[in-house]
Amino acid sequence: MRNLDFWVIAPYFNLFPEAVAITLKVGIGGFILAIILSIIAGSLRTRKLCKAVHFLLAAYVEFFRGTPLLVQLFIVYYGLPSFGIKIGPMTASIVTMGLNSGAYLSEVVRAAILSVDRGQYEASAMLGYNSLQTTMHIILPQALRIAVPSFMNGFSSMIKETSLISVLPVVELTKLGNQIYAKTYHPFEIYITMAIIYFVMTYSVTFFAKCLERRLSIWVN
Amino acid sequence: MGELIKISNLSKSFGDIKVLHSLDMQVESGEVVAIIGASGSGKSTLVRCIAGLEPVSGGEILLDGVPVVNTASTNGKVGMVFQNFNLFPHYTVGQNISMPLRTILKMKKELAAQKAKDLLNKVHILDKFEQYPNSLSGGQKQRLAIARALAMEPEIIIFDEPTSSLDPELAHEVFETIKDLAKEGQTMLIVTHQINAVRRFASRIVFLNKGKIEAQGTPDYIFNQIDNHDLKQFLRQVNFEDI
Repeated sequence: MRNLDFWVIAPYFNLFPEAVAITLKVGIGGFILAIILSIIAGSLRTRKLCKAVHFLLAAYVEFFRGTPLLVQLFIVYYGLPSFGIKIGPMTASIVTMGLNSGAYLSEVVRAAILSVDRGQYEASAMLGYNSLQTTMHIILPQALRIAVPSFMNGFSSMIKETSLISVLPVVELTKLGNQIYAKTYHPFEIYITMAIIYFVMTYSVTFFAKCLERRLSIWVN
Repeated sequence: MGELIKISNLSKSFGDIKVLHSLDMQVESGEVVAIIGASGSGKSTLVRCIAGLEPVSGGEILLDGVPVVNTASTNGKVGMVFQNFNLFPHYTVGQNISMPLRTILKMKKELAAQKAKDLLNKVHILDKFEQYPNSLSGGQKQRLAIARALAMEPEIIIFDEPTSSLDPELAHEVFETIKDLAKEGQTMLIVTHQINAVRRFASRIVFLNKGKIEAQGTPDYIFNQIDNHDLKQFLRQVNFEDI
């Protein structure tokens, strides 16, 4: 057994900020896209719409939940150019991760909307709210509060899953780790350092989530 | 006083179960009508049909001459106060009144807030303006629900068992508020078991039994004059339970 030597990483410290920034950019960008998609898909799936719309929404959710994220990344980045759709590795990463997480979170939003008391719809209708106003002003704010813990879990998972985009030509944190390993042959020190950085990022999300939940719980019965 | 609600031959079924049977009834503007009856007699179903919350199975309900088919068709003329309040938990007490005014009636923020304050003052909970409904007592929640319904200036307010989930002293607070509204000439339909409370201000009491109007008239007629076996039995029961 050889001695641990974390100083082997020191010459590469200047590369870390950019790799962390890319990781966060993909994580945050993908999460914002996932929130938008999940609210749209989750809300629409609770409404009475034509069968074709329901089929398309179900197909989207089932496809992205039923196939590996890595395969989805390959399809978007390497597959779509076959049809003339060429997008950069960063955009492909954000779009794929947003679509993937959006599919999972849409089910969270759908369940949260269905858990809002029926009386809220009746009270809104009696006051004169139309269907869209009821959804936007009354139901979604309550449903999203219910969904906050799951959303934050999704964000935390997404930051960790950004390691998968190391298969694309993007130097995010995991790819940087692989590159440093290839030069130093000190895998334990490098990957432990990576793990700590990932942990700090996901723990920050967890901490933020707890603050947000506490803040939103002031109106909960 | 004009005829505000006209119900003709109204029937309502849930699957094979018939809840209302060929019911006829009118409500004049300014009237306070208390609807009483045993559990399962169809009281709540009747008022929910009038509010447009339940589609009717047969017959017709006219509100100011316009058929009621859903909540939209009532055109803001009906306000409703529910048994379990149905306040908006994510809005403060003030916003529960001001936000519908801003969203539906496009009222300016300052005007809506002022109207909310006036109404909260009227139901004696102005000091709760900034708080969330979860900090209110049951009676205060129901008074907020009444203020919210009043804000939209409906022609008629329906109360669906407004005090059944409240302690007697809190129920008393709510009935005092309803009594004040009755004095102001607000048309109201009140479904309740607490007949001793409503007999003091109701202009008419309707007794519903097994989905049919069994008896109706002034409180004096219902309590002292009419000779109806089912009504007398019901009154004996509720007097025992009443506040």
